[in-house]
Amino acid sequence: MESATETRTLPQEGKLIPQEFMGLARGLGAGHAACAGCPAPTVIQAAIYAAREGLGCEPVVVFATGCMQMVSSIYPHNAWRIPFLHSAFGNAAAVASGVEAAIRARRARGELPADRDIKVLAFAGDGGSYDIGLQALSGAMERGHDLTFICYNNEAYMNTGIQRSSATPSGAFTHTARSGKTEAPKDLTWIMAAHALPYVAQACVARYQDMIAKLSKAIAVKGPAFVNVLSSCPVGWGLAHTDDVLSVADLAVECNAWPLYECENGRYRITYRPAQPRPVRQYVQMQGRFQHLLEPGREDCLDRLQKWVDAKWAELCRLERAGV
Amino acid sequence: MPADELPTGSAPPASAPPRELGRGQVQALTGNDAVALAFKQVDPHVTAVYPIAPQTELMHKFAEYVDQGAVRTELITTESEHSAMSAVLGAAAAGCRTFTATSAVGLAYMLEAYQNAGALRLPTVLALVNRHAGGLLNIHNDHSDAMLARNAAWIQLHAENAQEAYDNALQAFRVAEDERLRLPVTVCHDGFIVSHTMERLLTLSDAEARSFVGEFIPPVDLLDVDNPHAVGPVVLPDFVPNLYAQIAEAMRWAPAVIEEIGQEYGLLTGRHYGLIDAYRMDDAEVAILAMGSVCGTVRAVVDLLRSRGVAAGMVKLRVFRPFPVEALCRTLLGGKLRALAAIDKTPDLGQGGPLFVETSAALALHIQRNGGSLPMLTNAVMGVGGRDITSADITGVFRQLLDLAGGTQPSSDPVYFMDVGNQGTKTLAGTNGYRNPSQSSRHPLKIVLVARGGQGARTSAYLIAEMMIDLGQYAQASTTYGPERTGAPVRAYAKVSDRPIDDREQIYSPDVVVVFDETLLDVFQADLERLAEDGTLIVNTRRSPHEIRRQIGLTGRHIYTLDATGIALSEFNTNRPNTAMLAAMTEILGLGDRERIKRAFRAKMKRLSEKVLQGNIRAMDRAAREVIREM
Repeated sequence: MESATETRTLPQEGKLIPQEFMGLARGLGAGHAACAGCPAPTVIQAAIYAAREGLGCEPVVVFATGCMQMVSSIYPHNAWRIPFLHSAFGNAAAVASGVEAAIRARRARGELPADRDIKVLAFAGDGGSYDIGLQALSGAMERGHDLTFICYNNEAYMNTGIQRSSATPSGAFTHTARSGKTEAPKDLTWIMAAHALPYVAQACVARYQDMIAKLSKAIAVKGPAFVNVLSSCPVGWGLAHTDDVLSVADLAVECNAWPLYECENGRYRITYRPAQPRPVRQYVQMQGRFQHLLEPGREDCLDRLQKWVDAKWAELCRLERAGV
Repeated sequence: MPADELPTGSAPPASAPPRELGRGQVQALTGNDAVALAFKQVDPHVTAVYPIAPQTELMHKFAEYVDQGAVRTELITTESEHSAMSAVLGAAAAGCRTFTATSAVGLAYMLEAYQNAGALRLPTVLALVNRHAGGLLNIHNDHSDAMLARNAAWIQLHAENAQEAYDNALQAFRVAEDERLRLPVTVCHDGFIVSHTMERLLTLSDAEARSFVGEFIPPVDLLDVDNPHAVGPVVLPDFVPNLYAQIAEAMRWAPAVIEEIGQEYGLLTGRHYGLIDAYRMDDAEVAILAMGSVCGTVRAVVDLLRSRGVAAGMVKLRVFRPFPVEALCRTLLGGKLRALAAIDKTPDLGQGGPLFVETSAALALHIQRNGGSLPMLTNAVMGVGGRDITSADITGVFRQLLDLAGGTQPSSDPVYFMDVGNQGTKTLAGTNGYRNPSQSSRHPLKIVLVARGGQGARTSAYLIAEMMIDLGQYAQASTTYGPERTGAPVRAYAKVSDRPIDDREQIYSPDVVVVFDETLLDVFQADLERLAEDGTLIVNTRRSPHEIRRQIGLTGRHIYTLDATGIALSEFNTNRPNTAMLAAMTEILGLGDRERIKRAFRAKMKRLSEKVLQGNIRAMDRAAREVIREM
């Protein structure tokens, strides 16, 4: 199998997260119980880092039910070093909008220190964003709350044991799509862009610089922002080695299955353009969830997947051109 | 007196005990507006709401306060009830005083976040405007929504009328924010019967209300970033029972705290609140236990039965959660009580309604521990899906109780007072209205207004109530609600009296019928047939009273006509005959005076242009002159 983790020059400016930030002192500290190799804590740390170190604001985190909520705060233990609130699966955006209104209401009454810039970060997996959380997410975005909603997207219900979601790519095995999902995934980033938000972006956990740059922009913007971050799942994606989590996510970008782009006030911009896109087959080969597609007689499935990826990429290029 | 000779009706005899109405500013408000006023006076940091009948007008009123700058509250208009409670939960965790309001399936939809807010011990207040939530699409009142939520970690208060809804709403913040409990509070009032009925109540000044509620001290503050809190962790079996044991412990403390706050409120207002309200129970042999608006009708019937020598009583449950076991056992056991019926406005399909089952268990366990004998118990399931509970229905329950006390068992428990054999047509037939012969001593005077949607019948009913309350009298004004839209037949009503009006039944035998649209004479024929012998009929028509009499074939009664539509069209160019009809009615009945109606109209119709206001005022003056009496 080819290595997919070459060093590349990225178009964005940005700093790597210092090692000490990943440790005990800030954000999500040691003590969480995520699976070995899970990159989701990196997404969370990157957002908190962008808020605290990059923008000098104080993040307050609202979490939907899901893997990262489940493993980070188990009563009476808690791995969070910053304020953390979890209510339910489908309501992270609504809870976050209440916290954001609280900031405004209490600031207006002089109940908060004037020198603290408190920012609300809401996190949910794809289930809590694409599916059960979609209504609350759409509502909060439409109402224009000053908050950043970050979907750490591992493309299925991993917390409940790998079931299909509307983010699951076609062809992928889940326990509720046992021969591979037949439908194409919902394009949530595009749906969010259709809300005419000041900032919407799609990022990947394997591309730190790009991810941090987008999270920083999202948090800095006044008003609602949405970032959809591909976060590979060693268990649900059927990776042979936990070491592969970043290389497989990187390959998703390189084969255009997960394009990196942003949409600022309605204008699309592709932030990374593979010089020579890899075949989707390479991406599929790395993952147990797609193995059945490589069996004889399933060539058409793989073919359809490639065609879908190409069509989505062409559409994205068209959207980018249209905005210029 | 044998059970089959019981009188029917709702005339309060002179022997009724004096009422303690307390102090405050007299206001004419609907239940929804009264609760909105309480919320305005508290001025919470954040609210989040979603529309659902019959809660909506509460939020309209509060949104008006927000728009006027009368409150500093951040109003979040969410896309669902689930998100409304979620946003309130988020704001409460972020150190805010909060509230929301909903009804029926709105509560069902927010139940996940509702239970979560309770289990997280966040201080918030929910105004639940009770509406059916049993499964059918029905917008009318019962308690199936409140009962759906009875096992959440929330305190639940019920109100009989707008006064209690207002008083409970203010006290709810004190209870919800009490550091000894840390349990949020749901304040219930009955949809339409209280929420949309205008009546007289006494309110505090903003300063008094605010001082009673006090400063908000957040028990948890997510925004204290220097002392970070984690709220809402996953809880495994090693701690779940412990956390619920703490909630149960708080529930055990709650009765004392609720009573303490109720007494403090009593010192301020003269209206003392406890867990239950026992009415004429000292020597009662038969009694009804109930919650909410039906208690008014029960009280009126108890007074009537007492005047006929029946030892009847009533226990009104104000606090459903925690269930006031001790207070109930103290009141119901050890006295002369021989038979008790619990009225449940919930279509329970098990052993009976929740009020009945919990009361039965409470009494049985008390007797198991302390000895004594159990009164005969039965359960009446009534008022489901908004079916009107009449004083005749209540008399029927007492009739069963007298049978039970005499040894005759009911055929089943619960006894369903659903009258299914006569479904949908019960409204005007088969009930036993009471009537006093003399108009001046009528209690209350019952006025029915029939119109088409858009002609202003409800506004007129409210104006009558506002005027009478302004004159120091008492009133209830409402309308029967359904899917009616512009142009559909609607029926509004007003009851007025010089005494407090307890009974909440709709009007079946009016003293006055005002017809805003003569094409409705056939539609509302039943109202005309049951119009009092010496009653008054006023019709908007160009025809004469004699022609109207010929059309409807009515004998007796006083018939008047007025071309109110003609007047309205010529004075302000709109077919809105309500002000002219109202003026004609007050003139004929000698109710209040026209100047007060004009004042009330001006105050109510702030959104009308001055030109239209003036036109309406001219229409009122003309109506008083031009109304035609039958010769």
